[in-house]
Amino acid sequence: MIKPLLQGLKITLTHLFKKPVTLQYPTERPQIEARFRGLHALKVAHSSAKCVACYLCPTVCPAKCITVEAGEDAQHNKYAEKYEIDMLRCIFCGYCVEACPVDALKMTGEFELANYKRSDFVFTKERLLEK
Amino acid sequence: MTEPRVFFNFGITDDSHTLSAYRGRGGYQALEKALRTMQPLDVEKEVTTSGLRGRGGAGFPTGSKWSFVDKKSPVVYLCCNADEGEPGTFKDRWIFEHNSHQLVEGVLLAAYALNVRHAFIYIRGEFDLSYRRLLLALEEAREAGLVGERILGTEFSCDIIVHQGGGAYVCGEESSLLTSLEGFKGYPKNKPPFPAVKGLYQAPTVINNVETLATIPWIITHGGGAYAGIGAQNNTGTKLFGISGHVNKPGIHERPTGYPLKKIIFEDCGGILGGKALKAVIPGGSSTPVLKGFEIENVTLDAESVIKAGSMLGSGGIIVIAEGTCMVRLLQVLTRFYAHESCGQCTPCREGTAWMDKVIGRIVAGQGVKGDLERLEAVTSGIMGNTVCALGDAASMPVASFIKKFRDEFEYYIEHGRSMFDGRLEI
Amino acid sequence: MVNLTIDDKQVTVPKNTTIFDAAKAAGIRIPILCHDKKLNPFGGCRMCLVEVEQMKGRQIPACTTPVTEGMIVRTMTDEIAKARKLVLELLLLKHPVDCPVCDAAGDCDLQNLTYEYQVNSNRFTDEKFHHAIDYDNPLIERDMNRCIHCGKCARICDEIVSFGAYTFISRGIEAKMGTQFDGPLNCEFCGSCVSVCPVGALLARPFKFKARWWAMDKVKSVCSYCGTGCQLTLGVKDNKVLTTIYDENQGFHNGQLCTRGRFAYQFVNSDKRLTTPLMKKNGALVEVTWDEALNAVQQRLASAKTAGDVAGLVTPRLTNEELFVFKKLFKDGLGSENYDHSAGYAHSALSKGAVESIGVAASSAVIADIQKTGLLLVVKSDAYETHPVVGFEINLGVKRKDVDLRIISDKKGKLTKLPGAKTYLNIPGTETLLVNALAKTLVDENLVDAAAASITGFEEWKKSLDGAAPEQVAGICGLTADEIKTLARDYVKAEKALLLLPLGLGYPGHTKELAQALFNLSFAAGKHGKEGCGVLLLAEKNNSQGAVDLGLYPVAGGKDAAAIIDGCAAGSIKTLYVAGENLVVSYPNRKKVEAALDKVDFLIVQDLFLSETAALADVVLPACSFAEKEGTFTSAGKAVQKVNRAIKPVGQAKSDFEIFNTLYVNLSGKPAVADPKAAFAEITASVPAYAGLTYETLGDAGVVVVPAMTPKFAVAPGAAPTAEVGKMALVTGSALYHCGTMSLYGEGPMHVCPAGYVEIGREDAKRLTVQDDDLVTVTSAAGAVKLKVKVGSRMPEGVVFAPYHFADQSVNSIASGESVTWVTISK
Repeated sequence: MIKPLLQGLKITLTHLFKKPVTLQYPTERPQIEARFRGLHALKVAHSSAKCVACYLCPTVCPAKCITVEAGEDAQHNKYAEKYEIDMLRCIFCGYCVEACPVDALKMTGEFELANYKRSDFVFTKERLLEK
Repeated sequence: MTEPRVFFNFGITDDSHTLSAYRGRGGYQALEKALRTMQPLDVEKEVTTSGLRGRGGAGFPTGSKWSFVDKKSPVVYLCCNADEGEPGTFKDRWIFEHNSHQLVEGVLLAAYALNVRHAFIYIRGEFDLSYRRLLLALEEAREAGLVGERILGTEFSCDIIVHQGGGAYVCGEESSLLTSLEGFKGYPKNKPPFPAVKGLYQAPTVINNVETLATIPWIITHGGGAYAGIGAQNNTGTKLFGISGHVNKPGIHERPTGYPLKKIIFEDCGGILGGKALKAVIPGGSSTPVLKGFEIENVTLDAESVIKAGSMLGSGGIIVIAEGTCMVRLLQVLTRFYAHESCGQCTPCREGTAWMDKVIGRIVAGQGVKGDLERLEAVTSGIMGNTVCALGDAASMPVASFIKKFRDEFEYYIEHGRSMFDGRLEI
Repeated sequence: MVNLTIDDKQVTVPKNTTIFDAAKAAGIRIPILCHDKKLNPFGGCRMCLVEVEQMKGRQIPACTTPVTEGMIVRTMTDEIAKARKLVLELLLLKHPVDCPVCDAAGDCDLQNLTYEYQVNSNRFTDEKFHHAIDYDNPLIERDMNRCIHCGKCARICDEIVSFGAYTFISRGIEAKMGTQFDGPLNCEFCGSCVSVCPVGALLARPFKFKARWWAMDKVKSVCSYCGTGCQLTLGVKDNKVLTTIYDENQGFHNGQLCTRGRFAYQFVNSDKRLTTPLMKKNGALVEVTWDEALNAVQQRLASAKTAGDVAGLVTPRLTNEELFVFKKLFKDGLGSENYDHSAGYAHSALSKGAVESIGVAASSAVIADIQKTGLLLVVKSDAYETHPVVGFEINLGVKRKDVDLRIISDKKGKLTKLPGAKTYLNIPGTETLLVNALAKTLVDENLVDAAAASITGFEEWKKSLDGAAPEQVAGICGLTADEIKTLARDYVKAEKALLLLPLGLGYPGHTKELAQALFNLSFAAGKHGKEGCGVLLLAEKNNSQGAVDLGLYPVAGGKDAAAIIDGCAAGSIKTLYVAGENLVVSYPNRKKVEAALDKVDFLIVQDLFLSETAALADVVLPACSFAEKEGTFTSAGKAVQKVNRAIKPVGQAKSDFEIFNTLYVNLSGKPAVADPKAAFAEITASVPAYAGLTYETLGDAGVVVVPAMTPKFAVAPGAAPTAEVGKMALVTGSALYHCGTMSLYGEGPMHVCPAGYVEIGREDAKRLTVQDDDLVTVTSAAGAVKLKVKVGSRMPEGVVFAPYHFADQSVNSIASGESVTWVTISK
């Protein structure tokens, strides 16, 4: 009867002298692994988004949270006139990154996505562009 | 015994190509004989008996080609294929330049046999003297009442229309020749239907080579049996062989079929330039597979023998290659030709010939990579037999045979970035 | 019949079938890139290679090789797979593989086959092409870097469209699909080439980058422009019609479309669409709620009902079901028979001519007869312009079926250029005289069919032809008597012969009499009631035939369109309900129409757009386009076809069905027609020709109805218009790219033909010293209009042509409904 109790106390006591595992967030920042799937970012090359608006990411997205609208630029090339991700629906599966044929999309370590308004969860192209 | 001669039976002088000279040699007597004493069917029968095979390259028996045509059809056309474009071949040119009348007579005889009212001669665009001599001959013949309405006063009428090609090798292929003649871009037609059923302007059409047609007057004069008695058994008669390349005396020779290939190179043409060894022979125009020097030991100049050796008699344009020649660079000449001449209708030939040329060009430039030869082989096997016309086959056969027979040279070139036989061939 | 074995399956097919078609019949698919069922085989791509036991050694192209008895075909062996894979690898050598930005992705034959044959990597590599991309025209983008040399664009343009805009230029690997002198594309812009392109080498620019193929819903429907009744597949995404999708299995036309069908769908989602009801308040139209608008309309109609001064004009673009409810609304709800459509005259050939001649308001032939006939006599070369896809059928008939094409016309046109076509250029307005002279020849030369004498009215008709002998009218018609006689003889001697007449608002001369004269001719020659024979009257709009089938014109006592306009002007009509018609632009004599509409107390206009007519209205009700509703259209060829709803109504627009229904219920107190399906059931019960049809039996393909006909000779006198000395004859009509006034809201037609013009022959242009694009004033007795000049070789001397579609340069401000308008042209 007393034995299990002591065993429990033993564990408690050992932990008293160990370094705590709790992170003092937000004063302490977690270390984000390279493969972490956080907020998306549109990669930039030659000062414009690499995205060619092929619509493969909205096609593959299981949550249907990506909206793309293609446009034609002055050189008749295809680019994303509108690129939006609804972070409220996103399940961070990373399929969009995998599907991208031109390597224009990545997922960053950014995980602090809280906002005050629902509309602010819809990330437009400007907000998604790689900084 | 002097061998019988169908072509080389007169001395060439300044006016030996004219009508009077030709008549002096007995010209147009065959036509006279046929029109006055023979039925069209008899003419065909003589040609069948003669065992004459097409001289253009494929070697199809002329008699049976004619027999496929429905002579009761309201319109039958005859086309003489004079678009001699095969590299290494220059026999038709000789006929045009020195004896156009013999061809005209042959065309008329064939037209008589096939119930043809309009015959066409599709002559290669680059031929100049040939073209002028042909027109001259036709004019003379027309004035003499040999071409046109009521020939020699008989019921038989036939017009001969000469059409100059635009300079496309593919128009030497019979169906593209017809498309070109119809006024379209010279694309080959898919077969079936064959020209004998639906050819020029959808009418039954016979297409024969210049040499084939020019042989017919002799056959009518001397009889099909006499012709059948000349040369090899299954490939009768005499044939013009144009020998070019590294021989001392290149040129045209008329020889009976079955004549030894070695003899024609080493005796009639005076052997290899500079006394070099024989490296290889392309026996029938550039598109036939190459034979190595030792392979021609027992080859005679008839279809069976050459096929047995692994090549084809083709048009009889023999290209002789001396020891010391770089086969890789030689092949580049051929692939460049075929890539340039592919018409572009079907995928394997259009893309394949251009790619082969590019890769061989790359090898010659010293930038060949391992695997190029395997890929070339894959492309040739993919082209062969899968194209609309025979140009694809013609383009891939030399590549396949060169790589097969001279693989070491190609491998050396790719590995070292330079030829086994550097520098210019000293001859 | 030929028996053969394909992949161990016994197949029996007719002679001359190709291996490809035989395999298709047996349900075996052979991959193809360069073949299309509508075109002659090309045999270029070499994807369809198969093995034939009897032809070992070579692989045989299935699309070009005809079957022979006892053939044993293998469509898939390791060797074949290898050969096909090589073909794909070679095609991908030069292809840019820019699928992410290519609109064809998803619907690309090359892409699909690459997946199917698992060409995951290419053993070969080569540099790509860098051909300049043709952006010179606003409709078709040509990126020859993507081209795989299937040649389908060139063949369809040559064989079916008969334009010949493309051909291969250069040779071998440098070969590319080129235009004339390798310049910009300058053609009819029907987009047939785009539809058959197996890759993205030819793209529709209006649809460029709009959506991916797989993301669109494909909704089958029927084109809402001309009366041909072409079936369409609409590509729909996010409640927008984004494109028309080619489906080679649709309709008699095998998916073939014209400029309007393919490039003029944008009116559906146009920014100019009306989205809310409008009411005139203080002289200006302001947005109001549906309740307010409908209440106002209802009150007004209720009082007009008692006063009996209401009339309605409706467009034959509405569905049969809507027209049915409209008629119910007027008959039962308002107790009036003052309704009409198409200005009255545009349907009189059917509603009066055909009714009297064959007892039913319809043609005595169908579109399929065009290819079955031996001799086709087209009255007016405009048949190509009004009904371009019927024109394609004529092209095919002439080129493939050896149809002997004759054209009686006041101008030359595309049809006159077809191989072997013979054109008889007549003086404008003398068509009826000419047709009667043809009939008179038959009578005089004893060529009249034996059975004709027993047809009612024969003797009377025969007598009426006195004075119509070719010798007497030849001079008036501008032909020689011999020409007329030869044509008549050829017509009667042909085993099968078909007459064709286009109708429409632009053709006031195509009247009841002309139609009857044609019917009489067909009876007299014994060319009636047989396959490939008869008279085909090409009604103008998508449902013109349906509108006459449903009797949308006054039969007893009611006012017809002309009387309604007169009534408005005279004050006897105080309330006018216009549904879809833009009479200010399309009805004859614009000044008169505008004055009449000004006089109307209360004008209700129900339309998609704020048209010139709607701008004058007191209440404007926003209606729905064909893409937003369900129903049926009846084509000129009498095919009843189903229209399916592709998108939700735009803005607050309501379907005409719903609007009419609401008014009907409130005004008549009777229960509403539940839905279009119920309306169709009522239609089939009341229109004999439609008996037994249901939405289910219509299916996707539609049903061609064949009404019972009783021929009767009707006296159809013709008269020549009196020429005015020193003036030119203006004939109006349809431009190839437009249909009615609706196509002005479609992008394609407006890119190609943005404004009205007057077409003048070269001789006249020289005399008037005018050139292309000069602005001239065309003056008639009714008024004057400024039009741009188009000089061409089509027009005979003294005759000019102007299309009627355009509001800004409206031809009806000078034309007042006569077959010929006499005009002077000055700079």
